[in-house]
Amino acid sequence: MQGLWLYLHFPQLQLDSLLKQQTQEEAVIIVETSRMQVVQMSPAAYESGIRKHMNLGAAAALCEALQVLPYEEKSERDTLKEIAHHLYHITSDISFSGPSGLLIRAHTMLNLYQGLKHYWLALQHQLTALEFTYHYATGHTPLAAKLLALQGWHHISDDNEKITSALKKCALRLTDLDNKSVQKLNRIGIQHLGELMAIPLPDIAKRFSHDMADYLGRVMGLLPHPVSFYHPEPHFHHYKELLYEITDSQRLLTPITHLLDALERFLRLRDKLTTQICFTLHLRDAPELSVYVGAQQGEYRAAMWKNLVSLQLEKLSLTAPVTGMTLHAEKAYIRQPERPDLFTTKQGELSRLQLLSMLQAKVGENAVFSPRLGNDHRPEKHSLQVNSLNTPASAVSAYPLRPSFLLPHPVPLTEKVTIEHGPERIQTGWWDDAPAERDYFIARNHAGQWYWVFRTPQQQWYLHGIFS
Amino acid sequence: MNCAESTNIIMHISFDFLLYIHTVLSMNTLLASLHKKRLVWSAKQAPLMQPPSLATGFTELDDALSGGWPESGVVSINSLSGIGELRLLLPALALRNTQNKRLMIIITPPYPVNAEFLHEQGIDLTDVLIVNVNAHQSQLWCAEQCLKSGCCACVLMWPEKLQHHQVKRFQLAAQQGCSVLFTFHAQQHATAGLPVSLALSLEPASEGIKVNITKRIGSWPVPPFTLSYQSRWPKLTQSANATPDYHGFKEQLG
Repeated sequence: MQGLWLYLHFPQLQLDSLLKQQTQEEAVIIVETSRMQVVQMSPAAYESGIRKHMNLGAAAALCEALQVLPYEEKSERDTLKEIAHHLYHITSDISFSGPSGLLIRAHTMLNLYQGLKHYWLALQHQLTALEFTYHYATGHTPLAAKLLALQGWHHISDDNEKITSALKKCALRLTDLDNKSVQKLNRIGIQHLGELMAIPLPDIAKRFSHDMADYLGRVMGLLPHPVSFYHPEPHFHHYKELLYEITDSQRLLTPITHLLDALERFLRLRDKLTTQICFTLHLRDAPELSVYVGAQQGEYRAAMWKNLVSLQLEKLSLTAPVTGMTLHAEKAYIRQPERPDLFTTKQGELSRLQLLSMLQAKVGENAVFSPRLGNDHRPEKHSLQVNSLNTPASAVSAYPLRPSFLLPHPVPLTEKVTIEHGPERIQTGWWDDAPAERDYFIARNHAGQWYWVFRTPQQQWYLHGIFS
Repeated sequence: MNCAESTNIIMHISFDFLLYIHTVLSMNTLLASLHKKRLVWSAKQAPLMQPPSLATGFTELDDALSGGWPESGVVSINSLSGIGELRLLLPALALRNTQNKRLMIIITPPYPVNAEFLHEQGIDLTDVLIVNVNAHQSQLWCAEQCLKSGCCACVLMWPEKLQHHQVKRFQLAAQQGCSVLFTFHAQQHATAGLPVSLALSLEPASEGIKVNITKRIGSWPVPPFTLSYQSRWPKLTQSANATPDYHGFKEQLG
């Protein structure tokens, strides 16, 4: 069976992802730094006369309010990975081709979608949502599809003749052949691929080079072309380059929202939740800043995360401008359906864990806690504090009548009090470094306040608690 | 009847009618403006005035509050710390806590809360959350969020000073989340004039605690009365015939 491959070429990935962030039209160009040539430009820059492969100097002369950014292959590859990620739930076999191309094995998917037309519609729907400029074409071999896409053929077809005739019209400069061979072929009058395909492969190998014959054989499907496919990453990790440096922490919320939307898509597709996300803010001339945001109840919705993040940002002060940010979500687990109680009288907007995460985000994780009982007779070790609501209460029996408030450290008793009840002797802790030997009394001062006081063997009196 | 006479009558009628309409309209605008200023009470507001209540666990207090604590709203308590003011609330809160498993939030208590005390009152410690935050604004923020979240039964806080609009916000949040905010104040006049649902003033008493209901929406004033703690916490009462069990007499310390 003959294969069918689909190639998607994204000519301006870096520019498109930048332009998504801003609302007004601006002249932006992306310049390849080694040769100082324009490789990508915004529509506004195109209108002012800037064209591809133009020199930076010439471009700057054409437009005065020009924004120039260096071309970054890594950021394009990251964006491409993100696109592959979105397409992955439509089609299974995706392979990267260079920094700006995706190769998709189509013939294995046709049964599922009942034909090429529906398959392409599904893909196209997904691609339109992503708002990237792209060229597409199909071919019977990976390289043929690539050539046609670079040519901008924009046809989805499995008609052999149609593809071959289009392939024959492809200019040689679009092929993967090196410049020298292309020039050599041009010199002997071969301009298009069709003319080269007319020559038998052994002759090409003899006359030109083995590599050229190999390439041509792969284009025509005579030689095998192994492809390694993309596997989605198990964790969400996303970097976003900022168009402007941001110094006000409140203004970070807008780009963060974009990242959180991406996180929501990622988690929703997998039907997963995450309890902690980490923002790494890349600062100019300063070490990176990491912000951890936690949700006690696993969460995937961007709106919920946004609330928690905005609370964290209130506390954040930036030492240097932010140039980019990374969102990383490590642990994700399968979502459990919520089980609200049918008979509870009033269902609130928030669950208790959501409320807890919100409080923790606002006042800090250590400022919110739940009381627990410890297994010790010393009052200060009997009353504990834990940071999580889910810690089960230990089965320790309580002692009769204890004060409502316990002072963090006993203070010497300076007031005149009347003893009402007591003593209750607590003598324990001889095994560690804080032994206690105390006689506790319930006392009352003349204002009517009830105190919990104790006496040490040295006959010193201390105030330890207050009965409220 | 000639033609001129009938016209005259019609004119008379129409003039009276206009005067009537004018009066009605001005009455309406007057009424509307009075309504706006909340100076008019209409009978349809009655159900709002007496919200469902929560038994306090003390019969005298239930009677005085005609049922118990409000189901939702702001209760301000003027009291010296350490005279048994928390114990006044706890029977009701423990009951509520066991009934519907909602959270009890304690925001910045004056001293660390003793877990044993809560446990001893029958409160499930997994339903208690303590927030320690010093900034006054943050305290208010936390209280409002907890009140309106719907998963908290009550919020206890010790604010420095509350403004009129802040209490109004708390009232709305409490209604939304069906929760009660208890605010404790040491000064006697800290909450005067605030739109709280209920204001109590507590004083120490030898057999328990003296309660003075200073404000309660939709009710007549009740004279101050003393609640006895004798049955619940006999050790926190000074009954005349109780014999101290330490050396047989009360010892004066100082």
